[in-house]
Amino acid sequence: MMAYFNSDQRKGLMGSALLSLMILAIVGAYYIWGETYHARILYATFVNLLVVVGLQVFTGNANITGFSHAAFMGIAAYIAAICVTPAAMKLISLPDAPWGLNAFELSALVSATIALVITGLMGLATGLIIVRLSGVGVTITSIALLVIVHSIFLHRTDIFKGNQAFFGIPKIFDLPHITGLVVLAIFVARLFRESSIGLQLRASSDDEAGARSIGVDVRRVRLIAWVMSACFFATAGIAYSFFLGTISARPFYFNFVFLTVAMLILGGLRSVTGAVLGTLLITMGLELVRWLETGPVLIGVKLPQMLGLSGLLLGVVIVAVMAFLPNGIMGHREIEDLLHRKRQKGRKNDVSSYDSQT
Amino acid sequence: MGFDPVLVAFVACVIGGFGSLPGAVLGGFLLGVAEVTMLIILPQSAGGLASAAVFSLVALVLIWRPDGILSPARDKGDKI
Repeated sequence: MMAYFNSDQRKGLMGSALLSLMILAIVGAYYIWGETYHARILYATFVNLLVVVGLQVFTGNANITGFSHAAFMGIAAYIAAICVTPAAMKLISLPDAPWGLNAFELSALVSATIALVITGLMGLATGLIIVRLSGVGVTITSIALLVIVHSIFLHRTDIFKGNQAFFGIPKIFDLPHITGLVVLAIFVARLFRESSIGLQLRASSDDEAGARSIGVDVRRVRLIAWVMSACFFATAGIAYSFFLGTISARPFYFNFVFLTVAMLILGGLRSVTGAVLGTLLITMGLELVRWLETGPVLIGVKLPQMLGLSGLLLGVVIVAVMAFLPNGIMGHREIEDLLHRKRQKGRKNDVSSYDSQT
Repeated sequence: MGFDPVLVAFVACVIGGFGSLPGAVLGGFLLGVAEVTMLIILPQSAGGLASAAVFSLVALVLIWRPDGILSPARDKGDKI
């Protein structure tokens, strides 16, 4: 088994195992000390984590910011929801759906597969366009994609219910499922980053002309990464609709897009560890601030109620981190690099010369 | 609040040609004309799709000229 992986990937396996242990420790802590409402927060965090790790696959490795992840997530969430909801329920929630969409029901596994395949194909179709562009063109085209998909969600109320809730989706996933998916996502993203395609992609982000000159097919590696990250977003969307029971178009738009991009950039977009840490830190920070907002009693002092603090503090923290650590908290480092810092210092020359170039 | 104008301005800059002042003006006019035209020619029932149509045009323009309409043609790796 190990023979299939190159040496960086074997190092990556250890790093992913460490990250997974961290995730499992959080879940374990919830099962021992957590209260019921924590499960929802934890589930939402893990859905965000899937999205941010998926963002790292394309945005992080190719260093091109895309904003269309909420669109892919929404498409997958709606397809999975429409397939899996019982026909009797759909007659109530989607009374005038066209093409007999409200007349059938499929098992959870088949629904998830259909959602994943269709979203993957849409990723391929959009990817063929995206890889022709570069830099800010990709950003604008992905925003265009997001706006188009969102307008269609809002316009076709007979299929998507628009801003109203599409309800009646059976609850199929729970915390153990999403934990498994997150661990899988971390391993896949890390193995991709260290694979030869991932390395070519990172090379093309550092110096595109240079990478082309040594024979990297930049469009091909970008397309692979784009479709892969679309599949990550699809998984997140499916997990989202399989847990909540109701979905609407509103969460799959700019607020969510910016929150997840902020998580990625804060943690450090060049590494999977950064993606995971950024998500966990921002989520925990937001929960802490939400608790502070309500004016709790802290060491005998009754704090005033401060609504709107969350937006302010989030902004301040992100600006501060970006000012002092422009590459995010992790920069280029992965989790196992932190443990091996001594060994890294021994080889400091080649490491620092690489860092100073980028 | 204030988000939509910023988004439209950013998109206009990019389709005109990022870093080009005439491009920004051209992009702004094109986007404005496209949006109003879409509102007029689309039937009332499809009014919600106006922004989708405008952004499809934006994507098409970027496929045609990836660096924007008025940006000078240059190869990757050229020193600017």
